[in-house]
Amino acid sequence: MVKQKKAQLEIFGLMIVIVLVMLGIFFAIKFVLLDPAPTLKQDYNRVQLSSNFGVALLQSSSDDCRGIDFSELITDCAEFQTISCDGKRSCDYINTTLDSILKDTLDLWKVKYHIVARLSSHPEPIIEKYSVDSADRQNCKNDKKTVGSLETFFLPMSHSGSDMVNFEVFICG
Amino acid sequence: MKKKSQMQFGETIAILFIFFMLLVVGLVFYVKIKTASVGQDISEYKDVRAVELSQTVAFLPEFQCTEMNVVEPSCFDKYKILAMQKVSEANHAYYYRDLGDILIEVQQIYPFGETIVPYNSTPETFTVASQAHIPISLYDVESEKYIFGVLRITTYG
Repeated sequence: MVKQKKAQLEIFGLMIVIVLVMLGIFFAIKFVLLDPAPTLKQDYNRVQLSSNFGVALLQSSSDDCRGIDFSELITDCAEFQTISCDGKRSCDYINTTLDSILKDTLDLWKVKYHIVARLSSHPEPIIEKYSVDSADRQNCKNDKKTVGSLETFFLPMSHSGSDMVNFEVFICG
Repeated sequence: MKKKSQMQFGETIAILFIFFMLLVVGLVFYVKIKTASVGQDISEYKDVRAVELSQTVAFLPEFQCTEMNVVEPSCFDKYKILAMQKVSEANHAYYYRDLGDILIEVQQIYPFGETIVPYNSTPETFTVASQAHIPISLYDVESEKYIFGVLRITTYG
């Protein structure tokens, strides 16, 4: 009887050791192996891409439109469309040129984006571009739910008082 | 008596065996976790290094537009970048100290133009660690126009 109880106690002791080892393994898996990797580079790339793309684009001079800046062409597109470039209105010219630039940059790098130009007083977009893959139109949109980096540029207009064009570059994470 | 002592000896051996098995399993597990942790640290260091390099290159004074010694923000001087090709070759050790084994290219996207390589330190045998693309505004002093360009930094592992 005493021997039986002694054996039972020894088994119980071994069980406690095994339970402690299992707990240690569980915590190691949870907090070390399953720890999410830091996303410094991805976050930096997204933020710098949205900012630098907008700055570079708005500052660029048009090739066959008397060297007018893109920011000026966008505001003309929003206002009276008086500027004519190579037989095209400013809006058509911007759309064509932006498609060409995006093809060699964000589309080539397989970056998901949503680029919009709209008046601050009207939510309807004047210019709108999504990334190439049609599925991305659903996934990458500048709304409150999608994770990404947004950079907004404010372009004042010459004849519309306090109204201005908001040029938004949204890069999805 | 003999059997009793043999049984106890057998028990002791069994316990020692289980103990050492547990110890070995624990050590193997610890080594695996440590390896994963070190791998993650190395990956994080490479990412930090890539970000540092991107910032260093993007703000090199050799690339910046200036007017009367005042730096113009968010602007890269095309002719300075062209000149940098020869300067970096002549002073390779100086730039290698800060930049290391990387390839810097500046590509003109709109209007489409040449690709300039202001710095090239590609090792003989390499694996591409990462590539960063930074849209930039290139200023052409001759035509007084801004060109949409891309600064491409290739880091080698």
